[in-house]
Amino acid sequence: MSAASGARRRDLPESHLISVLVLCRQSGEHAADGEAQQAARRRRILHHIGQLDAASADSHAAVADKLALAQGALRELDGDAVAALADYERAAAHAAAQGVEHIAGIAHERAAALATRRNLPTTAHAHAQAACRAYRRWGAPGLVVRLEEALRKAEAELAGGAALATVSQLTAAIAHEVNQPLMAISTNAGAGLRWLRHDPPRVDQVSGLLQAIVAQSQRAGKIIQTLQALGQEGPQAGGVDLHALIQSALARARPELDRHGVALELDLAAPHSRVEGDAGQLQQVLARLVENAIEALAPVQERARLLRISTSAVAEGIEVRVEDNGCGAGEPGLDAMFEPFASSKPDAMGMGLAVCRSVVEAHGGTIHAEAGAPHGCSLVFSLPGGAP
Amino acid sequence: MMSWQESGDETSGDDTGEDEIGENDRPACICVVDDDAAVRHAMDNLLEAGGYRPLSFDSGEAFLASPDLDGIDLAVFDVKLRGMDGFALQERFAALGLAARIPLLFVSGHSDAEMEQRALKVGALALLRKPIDPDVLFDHFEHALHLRRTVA
Repeated sequence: MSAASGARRRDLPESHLISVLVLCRQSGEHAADGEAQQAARRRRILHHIGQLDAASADSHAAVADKLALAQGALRELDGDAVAALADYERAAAHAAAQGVEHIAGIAHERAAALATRRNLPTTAHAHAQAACRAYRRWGAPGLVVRLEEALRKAEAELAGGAALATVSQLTAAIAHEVNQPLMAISTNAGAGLRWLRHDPPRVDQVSGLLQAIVAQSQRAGKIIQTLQALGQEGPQAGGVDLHALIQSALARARPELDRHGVALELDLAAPHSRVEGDAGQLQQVLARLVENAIEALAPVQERARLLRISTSAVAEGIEVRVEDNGCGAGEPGLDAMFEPFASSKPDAMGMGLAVCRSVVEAHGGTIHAEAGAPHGCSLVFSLPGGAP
Repeated sequence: MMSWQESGDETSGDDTGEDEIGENDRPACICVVDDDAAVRHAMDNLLEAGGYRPLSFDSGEAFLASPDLDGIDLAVFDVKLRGMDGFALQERFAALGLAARIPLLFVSGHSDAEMEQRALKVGALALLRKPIDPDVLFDHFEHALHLRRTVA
């Protein structure tokens, strides 16, 4: 990029644009900064946009693309995606008219990234293609490779694959979830070493700590396994038979169901059970919902433990209900169950249901929880499809 | 009441500037607020093995409602808590006048430079990233308790 951009640099307007892009990125990445810091950044962004505006009064044709691109970046930062996309379109059109391919490429690339985050895969795909073309014309093979990667992802999304944006949103949750058991392991090990250094060594204290270390290692491993199962197969599109997936998830859960004495009731009444999507990811959703039901049923002593899975045709497509008569959602309540850190169970993987929601929403569906009457809880998701 | 931050306050007389654990009349009380039961139990164990007195809470709300806050020598808040988060808890902690006499450490399972800056800005001694090496953790404890004793 550097060699080509050096040849094309038009000093001032370009450097104002770069300042705006850098400042917008910093503002976005450091949303937790103090108000004063964010306000100072904003003042600087507005200053550079003002400079571009003034420059465009002198030579409109040469600056209009950069001004529109800078305005788009600010609107994107402000959360106005529609206006930002329009600005990027304008920037790309001006740049193309002037033969400034790298600006056109940046405008299309930013539009593609924004559209991806806003779940507009068709728009994202078109912009990613346009960005590829612009960078190729400009002669930046490195950027073309990067863009082609983005393009492949956009294509995968178009085909009904994973929601890429949610992956980055989950990164913080994943780091937190994995670091908790690691913290427990390291702390228990430290405690064990200190008990052994006592005179005489307090061996009696150590075995409980070692047991805790084993349990917490398993907890960390389970989180990683779930993530691997979600990630390794990659987004795969194609017809998926939900009824077959339900049967397969239940077959895998059978040992746990038997161990807890859970009676199973199946009512797969939807006349057509094929949906578009990724079989591996949807299977993870079903597995997690069944696991959630078993966890809610395990403490129940005073009534028969029942898990009921049913499907039906609904206006949106096909609906799957996973009902149990277990201990219910408890705190923090039904609405919060899908939040990344919500879990009523002390050692449960808090982000399990959050991942379920991400996957269902990436498939164009919805998921919610309902309280059971008189006991338990239903997790209900619907997906488009269910056509013959 | 003694202060770990400002000189000139009267000391209560039972701490004499020693920085070794276990040489005072009573072991120092270290309070941990963390919503993860496994981490809390592990910290209780580590503190006990290290000769401290552990006191733990699963939320900021439970901490603030406790009648035992007077006996705390050092507080350790997790940043990510259900209910009020660690920073919100610190605000209440400061508003109650506790920050003036109890040194504070933040811990977090996920942090960045900005969050670390913020922790220092609100008066915490440090923000430590989980998982934390127990030896490093104890170094921080002893440093904090030493400050509290010698400055008071």
